[in-house]
Order: sequence, then structure tokens, then C-alpha cells
Amino acid sequence: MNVIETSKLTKNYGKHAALQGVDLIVKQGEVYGFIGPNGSGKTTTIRILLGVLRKNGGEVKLLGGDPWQDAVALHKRLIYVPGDVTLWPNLTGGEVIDFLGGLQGKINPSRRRELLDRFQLDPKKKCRSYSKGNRQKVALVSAFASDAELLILDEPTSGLDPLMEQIFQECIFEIKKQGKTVFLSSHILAEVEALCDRVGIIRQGRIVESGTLEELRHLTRTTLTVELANPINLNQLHGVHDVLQKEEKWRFSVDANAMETVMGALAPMGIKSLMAEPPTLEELFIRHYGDKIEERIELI
Amino acid sequence: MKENHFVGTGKLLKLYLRRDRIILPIWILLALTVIYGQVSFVKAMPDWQMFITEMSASPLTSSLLGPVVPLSIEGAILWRGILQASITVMIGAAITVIRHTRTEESTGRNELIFGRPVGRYANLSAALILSCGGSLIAGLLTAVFLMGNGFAGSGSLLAGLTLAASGCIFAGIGGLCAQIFAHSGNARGAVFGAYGLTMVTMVLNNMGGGSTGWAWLAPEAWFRITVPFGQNHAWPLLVFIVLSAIPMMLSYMLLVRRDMGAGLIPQKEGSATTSPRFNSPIALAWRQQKGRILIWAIGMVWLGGTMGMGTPNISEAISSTFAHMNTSWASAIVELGNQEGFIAILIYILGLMGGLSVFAITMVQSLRQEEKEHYAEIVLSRPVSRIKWMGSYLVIAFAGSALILCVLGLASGLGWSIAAGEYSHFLRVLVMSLSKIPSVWTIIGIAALLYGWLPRIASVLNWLILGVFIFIEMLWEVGIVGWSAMQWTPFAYAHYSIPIHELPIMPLVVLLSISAALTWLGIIGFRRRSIG
Repeated sequence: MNVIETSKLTKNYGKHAALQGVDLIVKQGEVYGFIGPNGSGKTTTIRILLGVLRKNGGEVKLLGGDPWQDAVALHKRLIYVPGDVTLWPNLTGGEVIDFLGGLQGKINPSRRRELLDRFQLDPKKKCRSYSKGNRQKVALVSAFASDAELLILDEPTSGLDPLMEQIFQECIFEIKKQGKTVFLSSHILAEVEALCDRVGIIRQGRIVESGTLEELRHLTRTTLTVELANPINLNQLHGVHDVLQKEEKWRFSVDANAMETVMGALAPMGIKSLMAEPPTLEELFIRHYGDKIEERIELI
Repeated sequence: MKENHFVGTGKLLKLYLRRDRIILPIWILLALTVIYGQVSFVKAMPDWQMFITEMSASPLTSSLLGPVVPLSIEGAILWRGILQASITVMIGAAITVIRHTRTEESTGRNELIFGRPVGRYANLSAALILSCGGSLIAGLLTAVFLMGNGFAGSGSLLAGLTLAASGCIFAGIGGLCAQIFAHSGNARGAVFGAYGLTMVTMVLNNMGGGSTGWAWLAPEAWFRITVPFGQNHAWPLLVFIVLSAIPMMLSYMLLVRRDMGAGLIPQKEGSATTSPRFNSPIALAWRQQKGRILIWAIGMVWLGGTMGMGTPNISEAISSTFAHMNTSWASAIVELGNQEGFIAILIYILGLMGGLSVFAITMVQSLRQEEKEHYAEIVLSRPVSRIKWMGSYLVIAFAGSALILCVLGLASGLGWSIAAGEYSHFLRVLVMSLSKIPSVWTIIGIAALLYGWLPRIASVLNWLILGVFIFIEMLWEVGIVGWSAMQWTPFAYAHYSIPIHELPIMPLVVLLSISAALTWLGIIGFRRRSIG
């Protein structure tokens, strides 16, 4: 079953088209990574999914319902953590957690205690004195303390320290074990790589790539480092990019579909050592976002 | 090496001018506009001489607004003109200072600036210069305008400078409040509180004949000390400057003695859990608004109580020509008598026109605030319907305004009764106050409608509409428009000029249904639009 399904979703702010046809499918039980540069439409998409923004066109289905029409019924089943958590300055963190939990129903006190402990959050402080990271912890504790079947997280860890990031990841794994679905918009690619089953890349209001990390990697280049006994002119080979040479060592990247020919050409040259690195998500990201970077590389 | 704490003041001033390029002209020009209004009123009057003689002689208007000094056309203009213009200048100046100091600090934007080579005093200095400069411009424009109308140059200039001085001291008070309170909302509240105090001293001064020592404590009555177009005292201006410097100096002293972001009142630890009943939007709305409601209630008890106690001092003698004036306003007062007239006007101003309508609008606008701060989004992403969220805040606004009106009626009624030793007044005053409920609720309805459909400009439209209502009231008072125009405002249906035992019930019922309908329409609009 698909938990989130959008097709040709559009949203305009005046003349500015924030979403120009977003197609998304998030399946039940998966952790879906939603990545994209600033201003690409991640938060707009999420706000439509929450029924806070009205869409201008296209279809959107959330947990089988319409996020705008059935907002209240759907919100019983999902939890949202905003990226920039702002909290009522005059309430304490504990009060906010209890209040938000109370809106949803009951909150499990032992689970609450455990999470406060794990995230090392002091619930007695007023929200106005919390740092950004601590405000995020309030929202995360509140989210993980609930029983919702879907978590929608909008850059939830941008203010957390690496230790807390680790705890966040543990919590997501636990949630996943329980068969719940997570929609994670993030900038921290290492986090997406560690957590997500599938990834969608949004750019200028369109999904430009989606699939499992394996599938995405297949579309891009692998970086090879080889030591050759004989000289070779790699630049003549089709599908080879970014060539660097240091004495006998070569470092370059190869298109996935050119791998066979490149390996064929290298084999007779006396390979002393060979190392292949799969593309990192960073490279995928840059490939999709950074037109300029890519053009520059091509020129070289 | 000696540090220059003022480094960067000029640059910040430029930034503030840029940020205030709309708000600053608004409060400056508003002051000019009310002076313009008074000039046109007085000039349009067929017999201004009789008008001011009467106004001056009436114990009622003297108690509220003081005698007309000097007894001339200029005096008649300044009599209410300075009072109204000083409100806009005083509040405008104080709010401007808070806007650039405490608000910047509590939102953290200040840190962006103080990370640069900017002195400790730069931000407060630039804000004070901006506000005092704005007040001075308002004063000079007023002076030029008065001269342009053919009034004496010295008097015009003195009137303008007196007006400017009232802005300067409130710029200082704004700066002081910004140091004391960690929250810009509280600081603004304190400014309004300070203004309320000056109103009391102003009325005390007027009750005492218009030239008592109380006047020094009421910047809106400072023109009674300088007496432009009369004795033309210029020396008090120097005293005003010294008086204005006091809160400014205090602000600087406090500024260096506290941490950035902190107020003078230390932050307490709160509770780690809440009661299980704190689990609904209405509980949240109450939690957020109860402080404001309490402060308003206390203010009303104080203002209503003290003025009620002062009521028996007002002479009941109605001067003979006053009875023959043919404005409906005058005949209403003749019918009511001076003391009941005073209380009726007091309840009308505090409970509706000047007080509770402001409360109503700010309460509904707190919805917009919650939305802008993204608090609304957090709540609405939980299983909370939009009706419930918006409805909760409105219920608190409705109930809170009714509560405050009740308290106002009790306090002023008791004050008058105790001071007069005559308890028959009590119930009448209470009912007077409660009769304002439908009108106040109508204003809440209008605000809800605007918030639901036009959230971005709702605030401006709200104040504009209230301004138009008040303007109509003023036109009616001097007899330029008739009662039929007043009936376009919700004020007319619980107006002070209608004796309370004669007040028709039906229109109030109609107002209640109009209020309900507007609120309902507002909620429909809110359900249909995007948040944020």
C-alpha cells in the first residue's frame, strides 16, 4: 500500500511556481529520503501533505485520504516535525510535549521519560531559553513518544549534535522495525544514506530522480583509482571523466554504462592495483543540483 | 584603550529608517491629521465662540478634557487636538523604540548585528534618535501647519515643540520598558500601562482646574504648562527635556547591567509536566491570553475605580446656555446630568471606543501572530480542526471581553457609589458597562472576518475601520454628521448619550447575531485558505 502518493502536484505563490508537478510514491513501512537544495519545494510539498497549504493542481493522497479534506482524521495517524521548530516562548518543553501529546490522545509516561533521557532534554526550561537544537529535541521527543503510523520529518536534525544525530537514527530504526513509515526530508546526506530505503531528489519543484540508493548509483559514475605498468591515454576513452594522474597512478570516474569498455582497455596495461569507489550521495546530489559544477568539470 | 560604545549608531539609524519607511510617516502624519481635523472642526463650526465658552464652562467636559486655555480659537483647537496628537506621538515613539531594541533582541536578529563592530549603545541610541526625531518632525509639521492657517508663529512653534516633547519622553519610557521586559509584547503592554497612568494624572489635573502639578506627570497635558497662544511659556520645554532624559539615562544604565536577551526579571524554571486538562486548543488559548486579560482587568478596575471615586466632585450645575446648544451631544448631557454623564462617557471610552475595541482587535490578531510564528502549524498538524483552533481563540476573546466589561462596571459603579455614599448608582453603572458587550463582540466579529479572509492586511484594515468609527463619533459630537451616520458604527447601540434605562434591547440582539454571523464567515474563510 502506498502511504503517500502524489502526481503532477503543483503549487504557485503568485507568479512563482514552487511545485511544477511533483510525483511521489512512499510505500508502507519504508523510510523515504526527500532531498533537494534550499528552495526546491521540499517544505512546500510537506505543507501540502499536512493540509496546511492548498494545492493548485494535481493529485495528492495521504494514508488513503485527502490531506486537505480529511486533515483531522489523518493527523490522528501521523506526526509532523518541522525543520525550524518554533515553540511558545512561555511554555516549558515538558508542557509542550504533554500538550501536543494530549491533542493526539494519551502519552505513555515511561516512553516520554525514556526519550527525555535519551535526548538529554531538560523539560523544565521555558521554550524561549532553548537553543535551536533543544527545540528540535522537544519536537522529536513529542514525535517519537506517539503511536502514529507515519512520521513526516522536515530536516529534523539540522540543529542536533552528532551524538544526538546518532540517537535520532536509532529511534528511526526502531520505528521502522515497528513497520511504521517515515518521510524524511533532509540535508544531511550521510543520514539519508544510513536510514533511507528509497530516495527522491527534488529540484526546482520537480522530482528529478527517485529510487533506491543502488538504483541511483547505477545512473552515475564510479570513481576508479588504478596503478598501471604501461602508459595509457585515458582521455581518449569514451565515458571517462575527471582524469587525474600522479606518476603511475590514475584517478578518474567512469559512467556506469562505459565500465565494460574501460575495464577492457585497462586490462592489457598491466594493472598493479585497482580500487573502485561507488558514488556517494554527495556526488549524486551535486550531479543533480550543480549544473555549474558539472559544466566546469566537463570543460576540464 | 577606551571603547566607543556608540560606534555604528549612524549605520543602524539608516537601517531603521529603511525598515520604518512606512510606519514612521504613518504615526507622524497621523498626529498632523488629527490637528488638521480639529482645525477644520473648529473652523467649520457656525459659532465656535459659543462652543468653547460652553465647553469651558461645563463641569463635565472640564473634568474630562480640562478647560479651554486660552479661550480663543487656537485654544479650542489645541484643547482636543494636542490631546489626540500626543497619543499618536507618544505611543508611536515608544513602540518604535521597542520595535528596534527588544523585538530585535528577542528574535535574535540583534546577534547578527552585534557580531559586527557595533557598540553596545548603538542600537538603543539609534532607536531613541529615530523616535525623538520622528516626534520632532511631527511637532514641526504641526507648527508649520498651524502657521499656515494664519495662527501666531510663536504659539504654533511652542505647540509643536510641546507635542514633540511628549513623544521624546515616551521614547525614553519605551526604551526603559524594553530593558525591563524580556518580551517585546510585555514591553508594549507596559507602555500602554504607562500611558493609562498619564491619563489618570491628566484627568486629575483637569478636575483640579487644569493647572495643577499633576500636569507635569501627563505629557498629553503639557500644553497646559506651556500655554501656546496664551502666556507662551518656553522655559518648561527645558524641564521636559530633562524629564525625557531621565528614562533614557536609566535605559542606558540598565542596558549594560543585563545580559543580552535577558530582562531584569530572571527566568524561572517551569514545570516539567502539565495538568491532563491542558490538552486542547482552548486550554492553549487561555494559557496564552490569560495574562493579557488579567492586565486589562486590573487596568480597568484601577481606571474605573479612581475615576468613579472622583465623580461626586463634579458639579451638577448645568450652565444655562449649555442647555440651549443644539447639538445632540449637549442635550444628551443635559438629560443625564454631569455626574452620570461623566460616568457614561467614561464607561463608553474605556469599555468600548478607546479601550475594549482595542482589546478585541488585539485578541483576534493574536491568531495571526500564532500563525506567523508557526505555532498554528504545530497544532494544526495534530488532529485539531481549523474551526476548533480559531474558535478557541475567539471564545477566549468573547469571554475575556465580557469579563473585563463586567469588572469595569463593578469597579466604576462601586467607586462612584462609595464616594457618593449612594448605592443606587451601582447597578446602573454595571448595566452600562455590560451593555457594551454586543458592540465589542461585533468588533471581534469584524476582526475574525478579516483574519479569516485577508490575513495579511487584516491588522491594517482592522485599525482603519476602528479609526473610521471613532472619526464618525468625533464628527457627530461637534454636530457635523447626524445620528444616522453614527448608526453605521457599532458604538451607537450602547452609546453614552442614551440613558441606560432607555437603551433599546432589540438592536443589541441584532448586534449579537451580526457578530455571530461575521465570526462564522471568518471561520469559513479560514477553513478555505492556506496557513502561513
